[in-house]
Amino acid sequence: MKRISGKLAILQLACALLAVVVLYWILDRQLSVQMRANFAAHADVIASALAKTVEPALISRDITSVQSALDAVLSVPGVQWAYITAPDGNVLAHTFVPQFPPELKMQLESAPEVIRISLAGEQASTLAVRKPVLTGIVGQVYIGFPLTTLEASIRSMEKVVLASIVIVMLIVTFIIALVTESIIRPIRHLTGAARQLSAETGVAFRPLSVRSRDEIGVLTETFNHMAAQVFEQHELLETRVRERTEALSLANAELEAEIAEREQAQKALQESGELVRLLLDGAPEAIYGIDVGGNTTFCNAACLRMLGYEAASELLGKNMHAIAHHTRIDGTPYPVEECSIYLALKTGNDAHIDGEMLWRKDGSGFSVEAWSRPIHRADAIIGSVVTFIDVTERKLAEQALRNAKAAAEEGNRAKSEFLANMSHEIRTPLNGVIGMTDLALGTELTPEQHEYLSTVKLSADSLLSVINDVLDFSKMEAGRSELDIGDFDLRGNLETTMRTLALAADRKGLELLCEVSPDLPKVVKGDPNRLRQILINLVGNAVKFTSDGEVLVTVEACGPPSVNSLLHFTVSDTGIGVPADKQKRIFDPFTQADNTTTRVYGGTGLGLAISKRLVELMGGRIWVESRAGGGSHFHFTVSLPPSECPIEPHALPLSEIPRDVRVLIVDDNRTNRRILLDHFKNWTMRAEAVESGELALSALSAAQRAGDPYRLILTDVHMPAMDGFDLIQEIGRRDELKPATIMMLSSGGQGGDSARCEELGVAAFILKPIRGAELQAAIARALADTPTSGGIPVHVGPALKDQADHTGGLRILIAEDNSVNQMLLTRFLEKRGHSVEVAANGRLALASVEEVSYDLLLMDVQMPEMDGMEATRVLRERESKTGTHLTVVGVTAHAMAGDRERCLQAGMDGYLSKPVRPAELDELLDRLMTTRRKRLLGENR
Amino acid sequence: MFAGRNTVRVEFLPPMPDHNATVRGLSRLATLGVGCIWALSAAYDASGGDIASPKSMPAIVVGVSNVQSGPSSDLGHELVLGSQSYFDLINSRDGGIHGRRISILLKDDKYEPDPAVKNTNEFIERDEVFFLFDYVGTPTLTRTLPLLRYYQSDNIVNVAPLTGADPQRLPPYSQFVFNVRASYREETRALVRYFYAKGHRNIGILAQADAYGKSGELGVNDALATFGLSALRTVTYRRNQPFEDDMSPQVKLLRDVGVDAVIAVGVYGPSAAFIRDSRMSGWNVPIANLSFVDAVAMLAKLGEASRKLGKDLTLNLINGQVVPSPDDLSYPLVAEYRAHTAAGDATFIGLEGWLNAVIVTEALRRAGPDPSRIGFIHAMESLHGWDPGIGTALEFSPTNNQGLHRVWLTRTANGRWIPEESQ
Repeated sequence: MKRISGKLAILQLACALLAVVVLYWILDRQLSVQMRANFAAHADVIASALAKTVEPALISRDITSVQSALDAVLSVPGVQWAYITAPDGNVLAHTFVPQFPPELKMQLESAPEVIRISLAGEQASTLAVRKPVLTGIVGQVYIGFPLTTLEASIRSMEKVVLASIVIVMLIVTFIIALVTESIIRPIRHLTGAARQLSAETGVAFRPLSVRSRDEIGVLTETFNHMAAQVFEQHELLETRVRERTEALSLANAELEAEIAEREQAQKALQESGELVRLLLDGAPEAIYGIDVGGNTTFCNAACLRMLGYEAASELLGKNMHAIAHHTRIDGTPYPVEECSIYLALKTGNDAHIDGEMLWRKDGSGFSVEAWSRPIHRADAIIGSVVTFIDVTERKLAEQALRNAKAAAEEGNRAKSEFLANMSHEIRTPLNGVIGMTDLALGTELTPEQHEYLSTVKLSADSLLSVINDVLDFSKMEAGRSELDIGDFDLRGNLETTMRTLALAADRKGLELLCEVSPDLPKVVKGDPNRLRQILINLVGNAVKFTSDGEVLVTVEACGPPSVNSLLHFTVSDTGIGVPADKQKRIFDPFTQADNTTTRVYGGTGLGLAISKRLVELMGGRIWVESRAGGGSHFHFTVSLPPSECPIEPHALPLSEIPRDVRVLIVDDNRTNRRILLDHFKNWTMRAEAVESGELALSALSAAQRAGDPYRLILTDVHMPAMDGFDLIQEIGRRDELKPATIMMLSSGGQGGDSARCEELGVAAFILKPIRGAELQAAIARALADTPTSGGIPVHVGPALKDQADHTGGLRILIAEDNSVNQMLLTRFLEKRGHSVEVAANGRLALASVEEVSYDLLLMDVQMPEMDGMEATRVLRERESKTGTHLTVVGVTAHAMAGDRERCLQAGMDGYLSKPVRPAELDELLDRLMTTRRKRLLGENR
Repeated sequence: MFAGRNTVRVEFLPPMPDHNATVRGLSRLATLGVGCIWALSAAYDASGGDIASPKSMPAIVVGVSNVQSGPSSDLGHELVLGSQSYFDLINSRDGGIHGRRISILLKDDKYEPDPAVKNTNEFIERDEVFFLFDYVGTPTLTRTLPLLRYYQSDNIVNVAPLTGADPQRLPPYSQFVFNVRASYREETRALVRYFYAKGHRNIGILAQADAYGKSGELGVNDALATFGLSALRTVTYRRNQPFEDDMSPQVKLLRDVGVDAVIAVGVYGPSAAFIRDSRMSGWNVPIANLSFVDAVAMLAKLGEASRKLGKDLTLNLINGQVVPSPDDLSYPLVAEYRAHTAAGDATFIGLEGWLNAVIVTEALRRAGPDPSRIGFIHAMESLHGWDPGIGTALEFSPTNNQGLHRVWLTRTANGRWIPEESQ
């Protein structure tokens, strides 16, 4: 038998192990990478500072002051040595004792043009940084930083992190084990007792002690009661068997005597009759015969015994049904015409009856299993032979088994319930960790401490979400999940949900759009929180697995409300997609489309499993349509019947917006235009949409001429060619255009937009994504004559990115797996007017390169799946066939000598080291811009 | 002893015949330290207009930051003692200058750059001393020079630092410093010439691994270059290394390349250690030191070690000096110094301190009553042609911040320093 405690222990261990591994991996990776990067940056800063410091002294050839500066840099923690060479390579000043090691100079000199060098031999663990002074005209600065202290601090950090995680996990595991054992023990006792009972050992039953008043306590009590009855019955039965055996032997003796008397006279008959009799009486089963009228024609000894009669004469010729089969098990009369035994007489077929009651002479009943076989003679049924056995004991045993099974099931549920209850116990300390970290982050900290604490917070948040998922799932397994049905505003709920997800999407530069079919009921009956949970799971996944493009949520009715109340939700993305063979399994717990994606994207793999259960709870189903690389469409249906209750607490009274107002929407994004048009249609406004400023101007003049001017203009800020601000200025310049109320939509990001709006007299400035209610309120306020200053309060929301203008900048692809670095590089490059796309690894980068032609590929050297070196080699191989050449610049965090050589060997054109310095990147971009301009000029000629 | 309200009298312990110079120096330092705290409070009292004193003219407070603890502390002790002795004389005999006493505010920089910068900033910002005085050491002084530039508008100058390095003798910092003593270049030039005349061609350098050592090393090499030579090898040691530390690696490195004379750019502790390890390894080439080494303190260390090791370690040693021998009473300055100094306390460094005090006192006298800082600077520049009593006139002028150029060479004989004919 597999023990529940064993299963629980395995589950516990798996959870603990998962948590330890995940947490340790995150912390160790984050912290050590940061420490290394900090160290390298620190070294670089010191070297730069020294180079700057000695510059004037070197220029004036004041070597004493140069030495003084070296002397000073030696007191900086982490600096082991420093020296300065003249342009001719001679050492001008150094800090070595007892003398300058000549081999050092040779080693450093033999690594030309490289900024960071790791020395072999004695200085193996030293980071040597070289800086030219005044671009090397007056000399070079070299500083050595021992890496031993860094490595030691990383090691000690790792130890501390691992130890604390393991200790916490041990404590949690220990507590869980204790609690589990206390729950399992009574169940185990019950199981043992039940087994003993069903084994019929005849040993007197000892009642189990009842320790608690919970479900298990009650179960134990009930079991005791039942077991006592079983035992009693068993005793009774034994006694009767003994009595009957005695009676039988008596009867046998009599029979023998009788046989002896008749021996002579009935010899021939005797021989056959005796045989039959012996056969009959020797049979352990009760056997009797009936004629077509149901009257007994014969019966054997077992039959008499079981039915509690002394002599066959008491039964012979009598109606057996009336004597022994008159009442059903539930005490109701059993009419003879329904009797299953007689059925054999009517149908002529064998009948088998199980579990019916026969009644003894003394009125007591017992369960029997009976077979009735009709006797045919000359094509007619003349009677039937009925055989039956007492199955009381079997039934009892069966009952005991059923009870034991129920107990086991109860135990299983208790396990799951326990897990669900643990949720609180685990979350409480974790909330403590997160809360205190938050508080600590609010205090005065060194940047380093702040960084470490932020990482702790991030990791604790990840752990919390892992635990939440696991617990949520086990709660569902335990059957504890129930819906909290109430009336809610469907659109409001969707908008709030999108808002929470918008931040994550924005951070990745994704468009997050939500489209609700206008014919849906406003207020529906359902569980808004569970609906939100499903959406957060699906949209969160979509954002996670999509590196660029958009995530679109649509909601529509499955049919008219009269037919059904199912709503159909679709979450579509343009991400990596789900391979066909994985589509079935992704809704199973602990599954992701690709095991390797766990490494890339993290997560427990429970989200979809939870969503599936929730959707099923809500009376719908969930499925996915996707192909690998081609985006995914997650569909689900849920039953959300329209509510009779018409409340809509957040909406403004519609009367505040004048009806039939003519509105012009200017936005280059088609989806946005569609959403806005839908909104305005709902508010009974007359809206038209155009996709550019120029078209807007002509639409405005046309309306003016037609004598039906637009009263409201809603324009996007970021549009190609003429942007929103240009448009407004142009409108202001044209006197013939009657001034309309202008509202501005912005995807945010650009500081000062709000201020510019105020300057230009824009009535309201609204951040995307647009919340229906907000927009409505803003329009109501803008169209009312109340003066507004600076527009409606703005909200930080996701940017619905407009197609960037590619004419000015370069098209750059960044291959980088770290999201922070992705963001940093993207921001940096976009600020300079370049258009940037991001691929999370080498394979994806290669795919992007196939589709789009880029000017530059910034390639991180270390990435999962396919690293930068390999990707570059593959790219160059392909290019050798096409004759093209894409500039590839490696970016590496390795501060190792020879990295540059390896990069170049792999076919890269250049090399930047992390942290990437703006100046270096700028220089690179300038070079590329220049060559591109030249090329364009060449093409034009 | 009596400590005045507005100034400080430093109590000297009577000379104890059994004590060696170091111990006496330390005891005196303790007394001097107490005096310094007094000086600080006295300066505040004075500026607060204390009326309890019969003479309520505030003292002229000069800021002295130098080495008062650690392996090189004798340098600082001796220098400050020399200056303080002369100020005491002026304060008690003449009642100060134009009725104002001269008082030293002393801070310890441990011969380390960072404390030196911190002390200097406090002098200028908080203590508002009249000028900076008697600093010791190249690494410390060079780091404080940018501060003087920073406070340029305050006209604060550093007078008579005990270092022969170049930075304070060259632009941009030359305008903020009045150098009394000859430079290391001049000292090293004298030593190189001396060795060259004696037939030594294979010169090795022992240099402190910092700005002082670099300054000396540059001086030696420049001087050698005039003979078409350069140092065979330069070895280094870490600043503030104690006398007990092993210097045989340095000795071996120089010996291995065939060095036949050593010029050490060091301080008495490590220099003495180098001499000790040379001689103990049987290497007896002449070893010359610069004035900064504190020749008297070095010889004391070597004398002590000689007794302990049973070998005379004081042979064949040369030393550059920027003041005459304190035993040469033919100079009026030396005679007056000795008249006010116990016989065992007279040292080259002490005499330098006295000389420094004599020069600034003369400048203060010329600056007149209630002098301004700029007035003091002009007075210093006016000392051109004035002989403080050493048979050589000062050369200060509005365009020259170098007072003296003369170098006296000494060598050891019978465990004492005696004058050596300069070449």
